[in-house]
Amino acid sequence: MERILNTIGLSLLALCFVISLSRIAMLNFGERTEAGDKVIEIRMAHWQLEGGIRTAIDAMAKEYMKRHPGVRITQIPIPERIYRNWLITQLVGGTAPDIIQVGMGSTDEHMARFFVPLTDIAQKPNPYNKGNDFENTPLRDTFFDGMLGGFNQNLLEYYGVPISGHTTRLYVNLDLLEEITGSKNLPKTYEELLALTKQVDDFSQNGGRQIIPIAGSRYNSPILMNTLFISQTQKKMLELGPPGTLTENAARTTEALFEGDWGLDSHEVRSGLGLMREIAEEMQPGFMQVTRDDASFYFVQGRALMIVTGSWDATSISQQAGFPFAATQIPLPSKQHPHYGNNVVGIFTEAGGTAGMSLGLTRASKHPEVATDFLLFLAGRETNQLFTNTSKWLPSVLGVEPDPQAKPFMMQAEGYNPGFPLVGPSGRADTNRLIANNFHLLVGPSGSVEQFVAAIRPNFIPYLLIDLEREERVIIQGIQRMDVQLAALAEVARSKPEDAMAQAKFDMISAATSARDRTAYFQQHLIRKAKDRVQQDSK
Amino acid sequence: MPLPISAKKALLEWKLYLFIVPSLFAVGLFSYFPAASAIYHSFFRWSGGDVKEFIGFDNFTAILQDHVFWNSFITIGILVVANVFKMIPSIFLAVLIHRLTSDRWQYWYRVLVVLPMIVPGLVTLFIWKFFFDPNFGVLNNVLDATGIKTLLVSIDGLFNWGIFQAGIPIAWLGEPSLIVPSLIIWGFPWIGAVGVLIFLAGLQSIGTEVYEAADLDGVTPFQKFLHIELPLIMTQVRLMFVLMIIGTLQGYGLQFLLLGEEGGPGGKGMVPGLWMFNRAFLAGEFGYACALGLFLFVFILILTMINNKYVRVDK
Repeated sequence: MERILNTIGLSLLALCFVISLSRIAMLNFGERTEAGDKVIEIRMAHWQLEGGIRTAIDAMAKEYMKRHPGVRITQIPIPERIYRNWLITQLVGGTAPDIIQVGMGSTDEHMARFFVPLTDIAQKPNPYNKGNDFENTPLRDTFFDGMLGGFNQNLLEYYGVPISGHTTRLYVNLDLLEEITGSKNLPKTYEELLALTKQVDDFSQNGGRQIIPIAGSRYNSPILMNTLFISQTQKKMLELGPPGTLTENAARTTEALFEGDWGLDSHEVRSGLGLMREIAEEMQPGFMQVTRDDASFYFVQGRALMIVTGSWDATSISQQAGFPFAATQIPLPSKQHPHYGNNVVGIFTEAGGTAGMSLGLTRASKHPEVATDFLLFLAGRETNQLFTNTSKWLPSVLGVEPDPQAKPFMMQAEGYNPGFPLVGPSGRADTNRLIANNFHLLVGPSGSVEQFVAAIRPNFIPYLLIDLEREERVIIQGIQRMDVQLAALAEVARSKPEDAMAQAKFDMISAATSARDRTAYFQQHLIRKAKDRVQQDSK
Repeated sequence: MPLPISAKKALLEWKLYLFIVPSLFAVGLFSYFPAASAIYHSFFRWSGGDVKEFIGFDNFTAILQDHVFWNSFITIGILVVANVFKMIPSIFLAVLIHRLTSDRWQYWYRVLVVLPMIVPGLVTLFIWKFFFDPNFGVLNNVLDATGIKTLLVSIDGLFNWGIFQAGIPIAWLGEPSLIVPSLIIWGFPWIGAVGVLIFLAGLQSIGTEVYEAADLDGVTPFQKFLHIELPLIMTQVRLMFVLMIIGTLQGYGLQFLLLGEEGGPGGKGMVPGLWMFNRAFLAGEFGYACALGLFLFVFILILTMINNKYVRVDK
């Protein structure tokens, strides 16, 4: 008996070994098509693990593989929590997939070193738009944002093809709303939102179920709180001068901070922080220790009436929630608000929003031409329609009809420029850490605006200075990198004046380098101002 | 100690040495090469790309002024001390299992201790994260149900801590003063399967004649533990102690998952490993992170050497 069992065990082990071996051999030596050609594998990594998105990517990949039988598209979903370190280790280790979602954890240096600029293809028509009215339109002009979602402002190159649009919304459980208020009217202003949260508190206290007015977490709450904060700097931003864009001009607002035009003591900032504290009281206690998934659970389980998150969570929520819900723009204080109204210009326009889920092509790709073709396929109008229909996410290509479920999340073009945030670009690691480490003083049960400001004041400008110096180093390194290429192209253009391509490339890189020089000079100007402020403050 | 042999004799069957080449190659490639690369990069301002600037010892001098790094040693120091005490339940359980007279029951208890090892560590971390949830977590529910919360609120009123308030759930990971206690509470009742098995192996090597002699002398069960078992498993205790120190100093997964990359409110959960991670992946200062790693390596090495030199086991 024992001998039989041993034989079975050994056979099973041998079988598993043979299967594993053959699988590895197949992957290494390559699958073959029916015609005997080697199958080309294109790997694509992203962090969008929300409901619907993987199915949509599978559907698009399937369609592409149907048209190109010699290609296999493999999707690699990576959790957001570890994406940053996964990305960098893959890039530095030389094992990066062909296509990678960009925008999280990739610095300008990484972009320049490890990704292929897509500026050339952005300027040419997309072959996958053949037969529609974009047939002769450059790729970048087929996106609602002019492909800004894939454009790197510092490197002045396109590094990504964005396939989706996104907005942030206040989600409301309609059944619960009716049970608590007797109607399904959504809050339109901050005053109405606050009144609704009071009704929820009354409902819970008067023997109803324990309901959280707004489900908070360290992911969701900052979206709501920062939106409220920038409602208070809206008027100030216009006073600082025309921003030139429909979003914040970070360089200008940072300069204005050092010049003393605004600061931790200005009434706009104090009002903004006051609003943040006020709304934090309407979230469950200790919300900053709660993760995004936990907050979503509170909402889908009917334990919270509202949650603020992006359009990217709509599919997951609709899949899990057993109730109808509505999504509305985050309510802002009205101009009539006695305390906060004075700083408000009006509702925010979302026309300055850029397309998201930007996919970049890595230099590690063994088949860049196939990977580029797949990117173009994803950016085609027909494919983008398939994407929105399957994922229920907003499309990024003009003329694509959003899925009916995505319509409440469509960008609202009408409105005014939003204001500026307290810290600015998310890459400012040390300043963001300062805020994160002291945030409990603002939103905790015994916290206050004064405590928070007092805690961050000593290091606010010095940490900003550290971040700016780091940003400057990255910009300079980017310029140094381009110098070699520029010198080589200059030599080619000099020795072969007939080579128009080399001349054009030289002109393009030369213009990009000059623009980067300007950015570097402005950064140095900001650093000087920051140093002056640090010196002034220390006196 | 093996007797010395001549070089000629040692090289007589030189071909046999080739058998260790694959292992040496693997160790060199996967252990020593990354370490050497970290040493090399610690002298550079490097953000993970191909551009790096040689800055000599600047990263190391910056470490000396890095108050976040030095403050993180306070947290880690508290955790190391707490972890010493957290070894005690494993020792006790090992002794209890060892003293079971039935071999069958001993076997089943060993299985029960080992079974949780099958559960991935990440799952355990997530379960504990849920325990700490202020509104729906088990910990707060237990404290409420047992009345301990009321007691804590009263004590808070006496000392004016401002941490425990009536009607407000305790934010274990949201209140700076509770972060280190939460990290200590984590894993209660602190029974580590590996620890129990190692202590058990040590206990099983104690001869039965020692116990028989102790019985004849009328030694109580606790005295047996104190004078026989504990001294005879000190080799294992010391091994676990060294592993615990290294693990605690290097580890940051728990803090990262429970508190995030910034170390939580007030940065109270910041430990050296997490700071290294923060600098590398958030600030993009890979060169500096390498220098921090090197510093940590030297620190652990010194601690281990002190441990080996002074924490002696007399048999």
